Amino acid sequence: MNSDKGKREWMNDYLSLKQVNPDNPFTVPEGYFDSLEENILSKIRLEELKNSIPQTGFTVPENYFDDLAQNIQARINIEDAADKEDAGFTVPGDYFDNLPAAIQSRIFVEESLDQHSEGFTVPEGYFENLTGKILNKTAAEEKQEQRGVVRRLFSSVAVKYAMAACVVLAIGGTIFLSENNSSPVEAHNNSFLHKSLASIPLDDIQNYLQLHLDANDDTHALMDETKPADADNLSNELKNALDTTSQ
Amino acid sequence: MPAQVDDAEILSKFRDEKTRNEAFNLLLKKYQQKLYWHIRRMVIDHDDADDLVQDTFVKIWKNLPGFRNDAQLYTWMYRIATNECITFLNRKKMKNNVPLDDVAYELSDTLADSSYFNGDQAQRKLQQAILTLPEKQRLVFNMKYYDDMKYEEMSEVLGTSVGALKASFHLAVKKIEGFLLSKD
Repeated sequence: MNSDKGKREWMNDYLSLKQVNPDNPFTVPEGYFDSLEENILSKIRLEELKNSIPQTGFTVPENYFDDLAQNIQARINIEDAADKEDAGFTVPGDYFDNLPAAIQSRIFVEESLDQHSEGFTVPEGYFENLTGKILNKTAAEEKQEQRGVVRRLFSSVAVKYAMAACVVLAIGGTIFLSENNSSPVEAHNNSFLHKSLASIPLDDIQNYLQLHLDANDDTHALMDETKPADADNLSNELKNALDTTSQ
Repeated sequence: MPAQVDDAEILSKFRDEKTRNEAFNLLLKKYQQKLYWHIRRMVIDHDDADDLVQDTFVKIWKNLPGFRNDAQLYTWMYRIATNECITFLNRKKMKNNVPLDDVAYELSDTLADSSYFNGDQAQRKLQQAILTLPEKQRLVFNMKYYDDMKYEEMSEVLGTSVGALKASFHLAVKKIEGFLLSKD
């Protein structure tokens, strides 16, 4: 460094600057430089202490960071290779183009089936009890099967024919016996005349006989036992008489 | 004031393990104030200068074993101190997200508020004029005006050619002269 004399020489060209007091205008706290040396040495010792102790307390294996970049690159290569293997699977052409339409169609079909099945219902809890019922039934059948095997002596076809023949015989026998063994009263009750007149009230018959007995003697013909009774005429006569009385 | 030990002797003692601490103590005694003022004139605030001067000597201690005699010891230490100052000012600029010129305004405010400044009105005005200079011109002016450093030495400190330093200094002085004349 130059002397004070040299400092002044260059300032001769700058008068305004030369007028300024060239002394250092800055100050420091009292005794600052007395302690500065000790402060600097303390800081140096502190720095050395910090450098001697790992800040985090964690350590890594020797040459870890030297090999780290290579290890990461190897890992990336493995991941890339794995991704390429995954890409070995293929799908038919335009598979993914048609996939949404196929899924929509499938959904439509499933929904249609669901709507049809909704028309039928089962009693509440049916399917919950169904399994139990089936198991009980199968268990009972197994029990019956264990009792023994029942074998039929006749085939079902022969039994049907035999039963039909028995029915025919019973009906025919009944008719035959009823016709041969009936009394005259029973025969009259079964006759057409009795059945036709049975539905006519007794008062109507009496009124008819009185009317025709007084008017003419046609009742003879009616009552004539020698003539066979004409059911049609008799019925017509009675109906006419009833009509005239009611008018 | 005791006679200062020659730099060559300090370095010689420092190379010997037994006298290393003694050599560093001699180095501290010889240069601590010079480096402090060099830093203080750049950052203005005493506390900032105190932190930076300690950081500077910590770096000197760490790197002194690798020091070669191709440069002067004190210019090498000035270079470390200067780099600490520039790093600090850049950090201040990024922290406050302001251009470097605005940092100069902040430093001017710091100067106005500083309780460790006992200069007269002219000296305060000179400091304000210096703070208007670009960073490198400030460094050149301060080293020439206060430390009366040769351009060759400044060239070692700043890594700039002597001609460029002369031009910078000339520009700086012209600006300061203009500032002192134009403002009351």
